[in-house]
Amino acid sequence: MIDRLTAALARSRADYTEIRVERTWSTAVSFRGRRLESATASEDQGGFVRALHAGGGWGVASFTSLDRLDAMVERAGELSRTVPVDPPIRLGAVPPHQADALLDLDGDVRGVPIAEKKRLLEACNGAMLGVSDRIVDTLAVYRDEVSEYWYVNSQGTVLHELRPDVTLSGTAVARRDGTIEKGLESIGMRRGWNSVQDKAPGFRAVAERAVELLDAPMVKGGTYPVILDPELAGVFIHEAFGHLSEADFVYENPQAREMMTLGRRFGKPVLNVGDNGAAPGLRGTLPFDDEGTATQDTTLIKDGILVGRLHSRETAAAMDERPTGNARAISFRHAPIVRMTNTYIAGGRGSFEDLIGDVKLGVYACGAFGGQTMLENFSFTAAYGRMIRDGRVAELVKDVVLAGNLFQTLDRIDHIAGDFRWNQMGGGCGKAGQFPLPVTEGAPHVRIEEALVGGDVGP
Amino acid sequence: MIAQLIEAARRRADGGADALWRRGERTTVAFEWGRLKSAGASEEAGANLRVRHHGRVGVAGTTATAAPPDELVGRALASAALGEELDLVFPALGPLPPLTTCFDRAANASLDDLIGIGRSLLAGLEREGCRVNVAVERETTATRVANSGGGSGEYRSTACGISADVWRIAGDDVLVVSDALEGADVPSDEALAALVASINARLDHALRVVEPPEGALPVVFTPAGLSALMLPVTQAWSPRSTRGSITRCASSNHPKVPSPSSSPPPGCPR
Repeated sequence: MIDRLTAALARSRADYTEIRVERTWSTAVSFRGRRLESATASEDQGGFVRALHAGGGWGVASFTSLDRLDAMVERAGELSRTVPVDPPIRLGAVPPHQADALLDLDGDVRGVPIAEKKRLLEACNGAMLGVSDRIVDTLAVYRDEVSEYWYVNSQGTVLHELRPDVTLSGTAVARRDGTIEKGLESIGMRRGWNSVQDKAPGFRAVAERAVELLDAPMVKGGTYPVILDPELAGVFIHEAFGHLSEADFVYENPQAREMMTLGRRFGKPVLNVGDNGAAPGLRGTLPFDDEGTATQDTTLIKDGILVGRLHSRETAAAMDERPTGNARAISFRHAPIVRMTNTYIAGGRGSFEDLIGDVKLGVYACGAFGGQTMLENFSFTAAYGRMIRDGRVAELVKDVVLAGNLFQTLDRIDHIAGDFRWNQMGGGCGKAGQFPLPVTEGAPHVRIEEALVGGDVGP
Repeated sequence: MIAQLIEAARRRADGGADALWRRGERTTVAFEWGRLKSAGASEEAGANLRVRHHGRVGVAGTTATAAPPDELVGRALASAALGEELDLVFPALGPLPPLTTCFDRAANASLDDLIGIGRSLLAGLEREGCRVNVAVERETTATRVANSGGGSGEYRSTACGISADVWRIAGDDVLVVSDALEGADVPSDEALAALVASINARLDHALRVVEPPEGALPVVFTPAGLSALMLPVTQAWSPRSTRGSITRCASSNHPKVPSPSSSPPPGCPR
């Protein structure tokens, strides 16, 4: 394959050309309630060419038949020539890499019969259904894929990778009369079959919590000290801050650039944020991004001050900064754009108990049901919450919705515990029609000294 | 390919089969932050097979259209072994309904035509202190369907998608207003003008900032604003949607162009 791709590159008349080819085997199984809803296996293959002529824009072409490789290289070059761009697109310098990176498949899912995958999921689904007759519905989904990946560019980079991904997720719906609650479990790894064994206890736990929430009161709306658990803190930093740190948001927009000026204070000195595409074994981890740039740990906020951002080669050159290995595409159908990998709030000091010790009345917000980020404003729904009273975790509460302004909220983070963990979940990140991109978030427990919590506001 | 697929499936599945083959070509142009930035072309072909075997239904799809049909049949049978029990009847050849799915103006639109549409939107949306993104996409597809009962058909279709968003950033205050058009034909000048007017009108409203009141109050939703009301429902349907396409700032930087005809059939890989 590599010989075929380098031969096609040699025939390109563009100043810069890159070719990606992928072949992906995938399986999906789903249960709704006790009923098996689907069990399918698919194979997908295709390629993507991106070409750049001096003074031209990007010319891109994707295809599913390798017989069309040469024609699509030619087509991408033609398209670049037809799009004059001034000032011209430049690419940040990256050393050429030659690598054959076969990630640990940890039990190649391609060798496991689909009936086995069904049995695995059935056990997780059964664990949810078996909790109580209050569990009136479930949705359980197993997905896996292995992608073989080839990348070459006209600057000498030649890559071959084998990329696994496996996810297990479940939703348990509990009901009593007109009250409905749910619990979610999600596990995602850039590994294989062995990594998703014996996960039923987690599915049982979320179903039990859904039942427990039926009797829990709504949180009373108001302003509280709020402690985010590592899962919600990770989702918060990804959604509310991470997307703003993607340089394609700022590099050609002077107003956005001013808002995200390096050196601006975003928080107290306890706050350190980064994105690490090279962290071992996570879903956002790959040795190289989809422009052939080696991934790295990029510090975004250091001691509360904005010090970095995430780049492709194009955005890095436009801002006179260095590529960070964050140009990613979800498949051969798409161009690489600036994306997060494994985004985190770095661990601080002390324990969870240290965070709540001096809180008279506060909210401990746990897990993430969903959320919405409207630029600098956000709202997130926690999976559940517990009140904090006189420095201790107290009663379970539900319908905990956090809302606020990103900049104000980051500045109100006043204590970060040392109990950092990565949240290895399924799903993925969406941007520009490219969804779901495997990513991971990580964080320790985080305290916001004052945050708006939506909930019961009374009559 | 589709005839070979049906024939291979007929030999191995005792309850019949149907198949869909589709080939599509797409042309896109993107204006980022007010300037033409990229042009793209894609070609894609794929097949989807549904079989009924021992009373159960299974599906499989592939874009490896040069692979032997038996591979796809084998995967569909494996799916059927676990699949739903279903009485599925594969109808014989009958008259096809008269339906226009292909429009010449869209099929013949050149790259320059698409760039021209984008430039006209840019011209209507540019204003002081704002930045504009525009994406224009045109797709043509050829589709064939056939089944083991003798039914078959084929058709061509076209689709156009246009999206635009306007950004105004003032200090830490970020405002974005967007809209999109999608249809089977190239939109008329009137439709494009209406899209521009819609964005400009909403931008004018949004720029008049007032402090929102606090407390429990009646709320009136615009049709677009109803999505906020529906959020708990959509989240209930789609767990873990928090990192999905609802991220406004994420989805607007490179506008997504809807392409109504590009969705593959169930089971077909994307």
